[in-house]
Amino acid sequence: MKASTRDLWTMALRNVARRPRRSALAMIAVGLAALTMTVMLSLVSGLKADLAANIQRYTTGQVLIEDGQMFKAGADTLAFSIAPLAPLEAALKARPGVAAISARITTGASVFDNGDAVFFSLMGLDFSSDPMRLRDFLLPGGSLPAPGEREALVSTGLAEKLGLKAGDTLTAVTQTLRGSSNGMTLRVTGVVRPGLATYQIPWLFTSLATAQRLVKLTDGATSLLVSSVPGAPPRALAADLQKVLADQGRTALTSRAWFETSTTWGLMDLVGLIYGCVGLVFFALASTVIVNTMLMVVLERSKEIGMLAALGMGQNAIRRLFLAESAVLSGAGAAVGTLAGCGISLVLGVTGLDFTEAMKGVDMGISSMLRPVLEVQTAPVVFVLAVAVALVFTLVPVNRLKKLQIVEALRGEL
Amino acid sequence: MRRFHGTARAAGLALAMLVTGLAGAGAQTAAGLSAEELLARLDRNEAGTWSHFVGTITVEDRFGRKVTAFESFSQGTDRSLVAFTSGEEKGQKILRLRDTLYVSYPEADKPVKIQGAALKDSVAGSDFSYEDMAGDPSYSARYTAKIVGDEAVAGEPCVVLELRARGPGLAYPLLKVWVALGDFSGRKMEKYSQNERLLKTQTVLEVLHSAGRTVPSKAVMTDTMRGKSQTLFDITKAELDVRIPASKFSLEELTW
Repeated sequence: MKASTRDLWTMALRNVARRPRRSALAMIAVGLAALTMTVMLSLVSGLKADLAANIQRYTTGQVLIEDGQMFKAGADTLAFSIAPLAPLEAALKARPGVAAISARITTGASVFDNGDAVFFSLMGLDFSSDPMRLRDFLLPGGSLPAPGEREALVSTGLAEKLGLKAGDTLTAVTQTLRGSSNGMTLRVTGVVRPGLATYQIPWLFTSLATAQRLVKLTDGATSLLVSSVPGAPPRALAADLQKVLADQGRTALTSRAWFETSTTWGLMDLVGLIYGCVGLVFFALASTVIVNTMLMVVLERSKEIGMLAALGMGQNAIRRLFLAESAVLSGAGAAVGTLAGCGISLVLGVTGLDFTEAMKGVDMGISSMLRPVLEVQTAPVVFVLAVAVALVFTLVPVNRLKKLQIVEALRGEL
Repeated sequence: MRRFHGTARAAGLALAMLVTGLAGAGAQTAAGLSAEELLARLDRNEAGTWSHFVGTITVEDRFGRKVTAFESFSQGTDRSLVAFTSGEEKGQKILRLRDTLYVSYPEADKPVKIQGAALKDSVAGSDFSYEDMAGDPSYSARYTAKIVGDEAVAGEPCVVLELRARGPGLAYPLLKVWVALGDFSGRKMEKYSQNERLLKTQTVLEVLHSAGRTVPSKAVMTDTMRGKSQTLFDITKAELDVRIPASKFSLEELTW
């Protein structure tokens, strides 16, 4: 007896249908694993996309230029400032791939409030060109500070700490470039709530010119954020700008692509790998149900297997039959599970997952509202993985058929 | 005789340089005086005296050389006002009313009371901190003294006193003071941390005479925590015992 591939699939489908509850259980197990894997991978993709966007928006632009020793700075970022700024900015802007340069001054400051010092971070920036786009985070009633004016935005953290609202004033005291102190009374033009926990703690944002005056850093900054034109690869742009720095004699400065600046970003690949491994474990666990199902099928149908063998069906054909049954079970389960996972990911991608409370005080550069991102390759990868793992696990019971003795099989002793 | 620290405080920023109690130097000698007696001499207050100084602070650090002019007024050791008249600190003023320091900045609407960790901040980018201007002016009340040697400073024979804090909470638990044998004025001081690490050194380089008294006209200070940094205080004009209106030492004065 020779069974064609078509016959095998027909028989496999019929056999799967013969025990609907057991088959359903196996399919549900694979389906749940596929669903979980799809959502997890989408979540990792969402995390990576969110982190990438946040790094570029809040910290670096596409390329970050700062002193190579800035990591040593601690609170004294001014010690590693970039000055003079104007000639360097002009040289950088002239390079192809550079859309905009935004200078920042970041340092610490304090307010003496009723005898207590309240410390906060201070940032001077160009509100019109800085990639942070603080305007998007303004609470109602606020406006952006004017360049060079004694005006500032405060984060919700600082506003709550000092009871500030738009129209109030505060006197910020900070160290200057040369270690002296300076103070300035600033009018609060608005309160901002940036989407990143880092900026919800006490921060004060003022114009670059105002900050330069406050810290006595004329024509200087502590970092330069380069925004690239669309399509410009950050790594190549960073390398090109490094040459500009060298040409300008600014050898202490480094130019780095955004993904080279964040340790968290470096960890994301590891996170993806860990999630992938966890997913494989899920599939393996789900596949044990299939193994169990197929084992039961092989044992229960030993007489049938003996009959098929007696009728001339070869061992390989019999093994392919059971593999086909496994493929049907895992394929159907994986398809449904993957589709459901895609649906959930898409819905969560729109509604978002609110981790505001869970991430309070946690600064990982990730937004408190996470949105899974379903990538094109996710569904096929999950589906193929689910079926492949199930088939590999099915080999365990199927391999018992290698030593098939027809007489014993007909007696039900497989 | 002036107190070492007294003059520094009295002059505000004219300060560390005026490190010494220099006035009135007589023909006294240190012979036969105990460490506590030397400290008491050093400590003697000039209550009721007024002084007016004009000078410059020259800071040399990794950024280069920076000169800031200042004018200071003082009444005894309790009240002083320092106004910076040039450089990037121009318009900044520091008012000391006993142990309380207020700083006004040109772009700040109201004076800021300096306290806590801010006391450790540098004054005008110099090696001198607000902490050096604040605190109880009496050494005898805060330190016990011991004579540990003798050494000349800028050609002036001195007795070296080691001062140890009587209790916790002082910015400098250990001091070494070089007291001039001729006038019992302080000519050099080293300030140490709790673990006896040298933090600051201030040395009087020159003195001038005014109204029959001796005033340090040039002094140098180094803060070891600031790396390669040095601050030179140079008094170009000194007026002693001139009447200064009490209103000079008020918060209102900081806003003019």
